[in-house]
Amino acid sequence: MTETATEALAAVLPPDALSPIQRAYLVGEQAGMELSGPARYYVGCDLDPACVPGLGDRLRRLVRANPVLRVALADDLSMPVLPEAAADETDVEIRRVADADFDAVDTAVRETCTADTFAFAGGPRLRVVAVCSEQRARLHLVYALWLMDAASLDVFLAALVSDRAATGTAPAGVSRAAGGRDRSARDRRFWSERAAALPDPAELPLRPDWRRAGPDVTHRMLTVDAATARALAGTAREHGLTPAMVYLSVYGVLLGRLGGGVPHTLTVLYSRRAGQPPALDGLGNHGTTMPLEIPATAGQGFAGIAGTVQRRYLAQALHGSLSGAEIARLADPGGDPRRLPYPFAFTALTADGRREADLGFRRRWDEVQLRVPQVLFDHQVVMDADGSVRLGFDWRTDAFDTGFVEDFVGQYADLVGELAASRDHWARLPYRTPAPARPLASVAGETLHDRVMRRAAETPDAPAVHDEQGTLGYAELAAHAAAVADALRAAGARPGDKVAVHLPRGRGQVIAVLGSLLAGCVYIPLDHGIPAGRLDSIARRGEVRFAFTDGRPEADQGWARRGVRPLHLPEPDAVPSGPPAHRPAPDATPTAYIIFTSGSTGEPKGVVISHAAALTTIDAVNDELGLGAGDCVLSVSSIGFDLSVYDIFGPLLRGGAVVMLSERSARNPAAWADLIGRHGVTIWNSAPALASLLAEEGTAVPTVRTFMLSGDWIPLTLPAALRRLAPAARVMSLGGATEGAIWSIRHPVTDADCAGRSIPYGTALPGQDIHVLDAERRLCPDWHIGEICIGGAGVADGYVNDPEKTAAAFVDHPVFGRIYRTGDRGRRHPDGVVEFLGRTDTQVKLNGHRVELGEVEHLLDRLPGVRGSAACVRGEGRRKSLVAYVTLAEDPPGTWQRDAYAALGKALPHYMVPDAVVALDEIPLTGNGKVDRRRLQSLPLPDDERADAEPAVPAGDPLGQEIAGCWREVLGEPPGRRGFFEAGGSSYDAIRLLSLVRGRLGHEVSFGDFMADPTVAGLASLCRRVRGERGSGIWTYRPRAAVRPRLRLVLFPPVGGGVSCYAGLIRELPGDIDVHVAGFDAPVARSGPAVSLTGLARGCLRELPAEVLSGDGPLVFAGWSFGGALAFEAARICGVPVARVVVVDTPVSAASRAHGDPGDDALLAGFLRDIRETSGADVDRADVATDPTLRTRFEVYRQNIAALAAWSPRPAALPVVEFRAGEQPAERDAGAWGRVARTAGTAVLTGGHFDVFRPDNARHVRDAIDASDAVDGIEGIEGIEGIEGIEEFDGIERAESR
Amino acid sequence: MTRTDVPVAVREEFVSRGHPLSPSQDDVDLISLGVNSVTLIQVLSALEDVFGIDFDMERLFSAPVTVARLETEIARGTALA
Repeated sequence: MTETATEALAAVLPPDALSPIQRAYLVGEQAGMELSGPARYYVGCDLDPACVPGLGDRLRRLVRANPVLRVALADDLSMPVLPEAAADETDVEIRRVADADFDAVDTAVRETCTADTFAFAGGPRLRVVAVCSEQRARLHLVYALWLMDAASLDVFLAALVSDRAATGTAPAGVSRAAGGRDRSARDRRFWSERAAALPDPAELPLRPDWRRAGPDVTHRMLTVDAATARALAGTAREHGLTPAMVYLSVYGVLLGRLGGGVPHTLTVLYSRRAGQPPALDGLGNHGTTMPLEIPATAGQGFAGIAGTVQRRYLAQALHGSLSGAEIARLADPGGDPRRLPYPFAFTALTADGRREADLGFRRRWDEVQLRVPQVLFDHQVVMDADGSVRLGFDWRTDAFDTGFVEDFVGQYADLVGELAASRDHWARLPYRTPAPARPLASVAGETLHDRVMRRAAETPDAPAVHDEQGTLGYAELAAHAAAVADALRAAGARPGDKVAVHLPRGRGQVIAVLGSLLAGCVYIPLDHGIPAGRLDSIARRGEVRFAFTDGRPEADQGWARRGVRPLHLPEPDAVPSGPPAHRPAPDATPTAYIIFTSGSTGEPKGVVISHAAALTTIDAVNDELGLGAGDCVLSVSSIGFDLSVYDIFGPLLRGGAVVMLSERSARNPAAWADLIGRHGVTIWNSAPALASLLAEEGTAVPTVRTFMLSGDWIPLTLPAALRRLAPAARVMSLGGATEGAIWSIRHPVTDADCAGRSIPYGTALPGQDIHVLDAERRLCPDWHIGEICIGGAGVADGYVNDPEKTAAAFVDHPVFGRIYRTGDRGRRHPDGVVEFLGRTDTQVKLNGHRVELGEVEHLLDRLPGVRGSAACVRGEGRRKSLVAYVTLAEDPPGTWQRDAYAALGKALPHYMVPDAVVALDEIPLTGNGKVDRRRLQSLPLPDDERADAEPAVPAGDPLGQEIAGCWREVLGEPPGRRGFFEAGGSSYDAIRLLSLVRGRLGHEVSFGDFMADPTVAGLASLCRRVRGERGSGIWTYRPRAAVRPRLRLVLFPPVGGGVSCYAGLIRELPGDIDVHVAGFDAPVARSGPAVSLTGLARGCLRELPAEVLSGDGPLVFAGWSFGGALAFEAARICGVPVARVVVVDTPVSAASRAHGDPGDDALLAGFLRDIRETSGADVDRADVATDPTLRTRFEVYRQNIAALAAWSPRPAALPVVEFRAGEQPAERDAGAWGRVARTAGTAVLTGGHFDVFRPDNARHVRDAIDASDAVDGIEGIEGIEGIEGIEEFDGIERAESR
Repeated sequence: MTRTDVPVAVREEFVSRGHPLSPSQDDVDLISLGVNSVTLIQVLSALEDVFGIDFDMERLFSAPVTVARLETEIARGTALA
């Protein structure tokens, strides 16, 4: 390598010269990364006006002394370092203004520097502006975060402002590890044992699209005064804690409490510097990150938590040779490198405000702007030498619910104040008691049946029940129910006895329920299809004495076997014509019904609900709906589900009617729509899945005025689908638990809700209360995740005959009275609305990741062609997999499945993307109308849904083979069917791959597009699409952009039109050469006269950026084979001086250019060989005719062969350097080029025509292109001596210059 | 290096980082003496290099870190090495 080249190559910073944090910042800026965005820091400083003179000189001194400040990041992430002389062009922008204009100008500068749209002008990534007036001055600095860490910024600012700034001695690159032994193996073992067990980040209220939050950031800065900070530090030391660890623990504890008090992980940024401040020429960024687990907060004192945090931090920092990215890879080798796994970050820094003030500047901390890619929330603690502490908070504005972070910052400040004020708080975390719950309404003393009988007396003829037998008026219903009560009494029933209602759907169920209550009994509603084994269990546990059956002998015998007396519905003696006669009420029993729900152990639990509890809920909902005598409710749910309690009593308490389905119509959405229309149903009440079936049925049901949805997640698309059926209807979400008497909470669904994270759970119904309690059963502050508990008059009495389960679930709370613990997680928002965060059965763990099935389903539901979906986890242990099932619309797009994978892959972390998406005719539902996930888990799966029988790249796909070559180069192994990341690639590798594809093949593919399908086939497809959009047969690209080019090079394509052959050569070229490449991907003229070589050259020149032919700086044209001829022709006609034309094994004589008129066979053979030699693809001859891509490439080949053969080179006084293949050179006549051009040198390369860019050969071609001593003028080239390196080569022939 | 040299070496590491310690403070928690986490990590790392040992993290941080405890842990580490 020549001296010139050495210098030039050293001027490009290799990627491995970057520290982990520098690399992370660069990667995080790439489009397509989760939470990508600029990595930038802005700080403003009040400046002593006396410091303004000399700012420019001091900046130039800093830039000259620090290579990192001269790095100019190129588009392909290469990092050319400008020479020291480039510092001379650096300057501080001084804005001199009148005092009166100072604030306006200063504000404008700050807004420019902090704008989302801010971009560096090119060259070094920093900008310094000083605004100064007679009286005032202010400094504005914005720089890329990878330039400087906090210690470097301290030195930079001091040295920029003052010549008096004394600094440390640590040069650039010094790190703690660098001076000691290699700890990487030990540290890898350390992290291997820990990384995979780290918990997830705290669960904060993030917006649904937080993964794609915009670049907008918000900054808050709090200052802890020196007295408070000293008090806190004093107590910290008593506990053996450093102040930094205390603030880290405050941050961690608050995040943990917000997330439900469970352990969580955050990211700590810390420095690898050796401790001393960096020297003036030692600026850089030596930060690194580590994940840090914060322990659970429940029942823990602050000092204990902080002690654990400190121990973990110290132990981990002592194993700090691994970067955060490396640790993440250990934690999850197949993890998605697009995202930082722990997006809540912390760093502790020091500052010396007094010293800075002494030097003449003071930072304006409130105006700092920190933009960190891939971080949602960044917290910095700056400990000033004056004793005060600044607490910086920077967050992605769009990622969080409005008001959340502001509230968090307030809580942080409060906790710091409390810890400083009292030692007690170190033993037990302070707790702010929220306002007490409001008083509850009372419905004591009333019963369901009394209220129905009252309605019957008021409106005896009004319809009460519709079913397939017709309509039953209120009086008739009362008479039938009275007959049932009589029958029960006749059978020996006593008040409080349990009566099973085991009847098919229809009026009989209503009659039996009401009759049982009239007899003072407790009814137990049972689905008619319930298995016998479960009936056995219910009969035993519920102590059932009587059962109303349909009279089938086997049913009666079954009940008799259980010790239960079967009864049949009696016919009343006479149907009354007026109001029912008043009957003396039996002794009142407080219990109305017992509903059996599934227990986690399989044993059903009987929930005991009193009349008062049921009335509390039903009255509240009826009030909410304004339900009246004109209303009609369709009872679509099974009687065994407690929604049936409302279906029956909701309307009957208000004089309305209930429509009972039959067993036949129970699962027929068309029949539901028909019944709704026929009876003018106004209220729909069901689980979301049944409502989805109605929506899919698509029949308009305009009489429905309210859809009540409860019992499961409401798909965000469902409310709109229902409104299409009934445009005037409102949709109400209801929630709660059977143990809270049907429902306890409601929320009217708005359009805005459907664009949110999930439909809000809502606010408590009157008479009930919803508490979100922490693990110590204290009311959680707003935003904190806790357990949803139900209080008030709707709470059940317990589980029948199960004191153990009752005691576990029903708690007497000292403040809230009797509450039911739902086991659901939620958080309360400041407006009182509670957000439901999932039941344990939809939140599953998959390979250690928390997976919310609802999130997968929401995404699928929005896809075109998908009607509904349900996801489940199948398998056990490491073979667990996530499978999504969908029902499809009538004519789904043929690509629905591919679209689904692409959409899911784009929106979700890899571990949440289903391994299979399977179409079903219908999603199986439980008897309660909920998704039957157990059944989903047992459905047979089609053979590997994602299997692709075809190889990764067809052998005959030249572009695919070329891309596969890049892939292999990056990952060390050829691509298979797995995606890039599954194959072990990192995000940095991906950027490398795309950089290679761009630099080698000229295809510009964005990171984000690649992410949608990160496979070799997907990338090939993208390349074709991107190129196809350009629409021209000739294209150019710029694989290497130099900031201040010393020389511009244009490479012209060989006969096949592709340019991958130049990749090695380009890699060898110094960083200050601006490289442009031209290529063909389609024949220039598809019809009409054949295009000439001159025409092709003109076409290439036309595609080049204007600056290439501006005459600004020396220009070199080069090309291999046909490309050399094209380069010569282009140089001849381009109109600007070309310093050299480098032709590499290029024929020029007529004899070498043409071999007569080759037939198609010969052309095809030549083409196939060309493909094989240049891309490695073994193309089948027949494919050329059938494959459009191959066909086009062949046409390019044919066009170029013909143009070359027809070319009549016109001699020109152009300096040509000729390289000839050592074996069978393309130009057989060694003197041929000398006859058409002024040969500046000739050299012979080893090997044949296709070996000319082997590394040893490529270096010689590089030297001929670079020939820096010839740049000033071609006169300097006398033969080959002017080209360094060539004279050492064997076989050189000296040519005389013309 | 003899056993008596170890606390001297430990104290020197702190002195070189701006934390002078007297022998009378050998049993005092270093953090309560104002040593911050950055300095502590640097010293521990340097001591690992000087003595060719790996500190047992569980043991080391199970109680306040003092010069005396560092001496014990170094002795234990060198015996294992």
